[in-house]
Amino acid sequence: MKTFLCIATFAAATLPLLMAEDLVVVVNKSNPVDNVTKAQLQKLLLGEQPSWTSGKKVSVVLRSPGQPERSGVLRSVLGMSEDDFNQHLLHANFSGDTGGAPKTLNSGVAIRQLVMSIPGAIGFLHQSDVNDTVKAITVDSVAAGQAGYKIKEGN
Amino acid sequence: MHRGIRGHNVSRCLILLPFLATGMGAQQTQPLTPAASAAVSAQGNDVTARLLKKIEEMEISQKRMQDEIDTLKGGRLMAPPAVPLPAVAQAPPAEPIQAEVETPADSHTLGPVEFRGFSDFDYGRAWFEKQPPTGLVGSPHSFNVGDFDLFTNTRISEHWSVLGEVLVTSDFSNEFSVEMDRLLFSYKPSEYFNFGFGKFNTALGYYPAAFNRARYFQTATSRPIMYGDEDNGGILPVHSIGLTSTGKIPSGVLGLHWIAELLNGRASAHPDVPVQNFVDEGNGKAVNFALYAKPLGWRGFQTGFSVYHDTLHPEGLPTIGENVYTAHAVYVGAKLEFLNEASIVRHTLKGTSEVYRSLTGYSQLSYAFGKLRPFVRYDYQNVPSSEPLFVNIGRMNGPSFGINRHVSNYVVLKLQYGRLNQLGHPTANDLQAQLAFAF
Repeated sequence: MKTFLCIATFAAATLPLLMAEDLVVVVNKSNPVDNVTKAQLQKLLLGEQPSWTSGKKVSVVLRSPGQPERSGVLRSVLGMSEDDFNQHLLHANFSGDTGGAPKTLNSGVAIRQLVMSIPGAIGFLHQSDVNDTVKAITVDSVAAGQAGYKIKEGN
Repeated sequence: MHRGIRGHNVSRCLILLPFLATGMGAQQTQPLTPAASAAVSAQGNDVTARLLKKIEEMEISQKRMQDEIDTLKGGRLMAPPAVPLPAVAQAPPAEPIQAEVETPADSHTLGPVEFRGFSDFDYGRAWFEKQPPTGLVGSPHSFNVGDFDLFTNTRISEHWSVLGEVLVTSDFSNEFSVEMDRLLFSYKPSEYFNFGFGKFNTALGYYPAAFNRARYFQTATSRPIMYGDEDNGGILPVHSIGLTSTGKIPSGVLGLHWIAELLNGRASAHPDVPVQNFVDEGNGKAVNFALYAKPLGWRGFQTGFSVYHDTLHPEGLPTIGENVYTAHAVYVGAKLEFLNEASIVRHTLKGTSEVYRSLTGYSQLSYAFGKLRPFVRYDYQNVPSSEPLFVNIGRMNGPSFGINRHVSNYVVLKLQYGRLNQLGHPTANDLQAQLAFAF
């Protein structure tokens, strides 16, 4: 009985992580980038890389606070909670950084449309929200849906 | 156009609904078993629900398109919805955000100015802070309001920004005063070259740039002795007025950055007003060069050094050449914080062989256990007793330790005990409590 309870507890704790849906990293179709490393994603999210190599200004678009897509990106890429991320933004601004916070939108469709409109935009979408108006890129050469892909939604 | 699209969607729904109702009604006229009837009813509800959902999705999509059109027209994307959001979109509403659409208008548009505030309320005060010339009359163990720090960092166009920080501050004199701590206009055309001018923290090390005056961000209740203000017993020229430029150096994984500054330097003839603004004691300017590395593979680690040179003209003394050499190695991770910095201030009296070297530095270690962060710091500063400019400072050193806990998102409670040994003075024991907040 104890063994069963242990297995059930372990399964309850780990299954949501294993079942979490991959989030596709998308950029504007004019962006020549096809792959980013996780370290690059960290820099983009933290405002430490203000522009792409093409010279286009980086605009990061995330879901609104409290949404699993947003918390998943913050946790998967930065290892941060929403609070940690807000503290980081406040501190970065105080230290003179003018990169600004990521834009927030309420739906995947809205994010897709903004990425489609802004040449330097980058966003994170469910696979069902991705269409040919934006370009899906790989992370560390792994595409969403493949084994080893690390950007997942969370709570 | 917006209303037209919405009206089109609604009219399409109105057309569909009678057909749906008719279809459902037609099915209900057939003789059906109870189970089949329930199945048909469920199917009808399902279709209705899917249609409603589709309508709602179309409305959301249409609203976003309208927002984008507004953005492209006015260079702004504002969140207030033109139509009430349907039930499926009851996530927290998007905050008003400034569009970064790269339109020509963007580079000529003043953005909204946002001010932040930082302050703290304390019991007790660090003993090493400057005391009145007549000495401290009474006990330092009092309730006290710390700096009231009003701050803005605002982009005024694509490449220009302004950073301003005003302090209302008090000290052991019990008097409040207003002080312009930073006012920096910056031009940032690329990550390899940024240029700024105004009043700012001299690029001497890590701590002033990272924390400046906001105690909210600092792990301990106050800055290290090393970075005391010039008018508060500090020996480093931590504030300057002049020009500063910085940028990245293409260096791969090393993550090198450079800083070069041309500054008024500090006053030596009038040490009570150490930061020179309208009047510079000499025509010569101070210069400061710094180089630091933030390795790409070691996020949170930073190390670097700086060399500062100025020529001082104190009253009744020969001209003094001042060199300040500073080095730092810090690691600031999500849990571990390990800060190490040191400076040597070298004063050379021109025309003589007299050289005075003062050493100041600290080491601070902290580790977060959830929201609780215990910390320990050791300060050390040694100024030669015969030093011509830094009079009656001498040697001071000692440990301090405490805890820092986030009691809410923007409120931090700190408790700290410190012990300060000062040559020629009795050892001071210092207990402080601080509630620091951002707003």
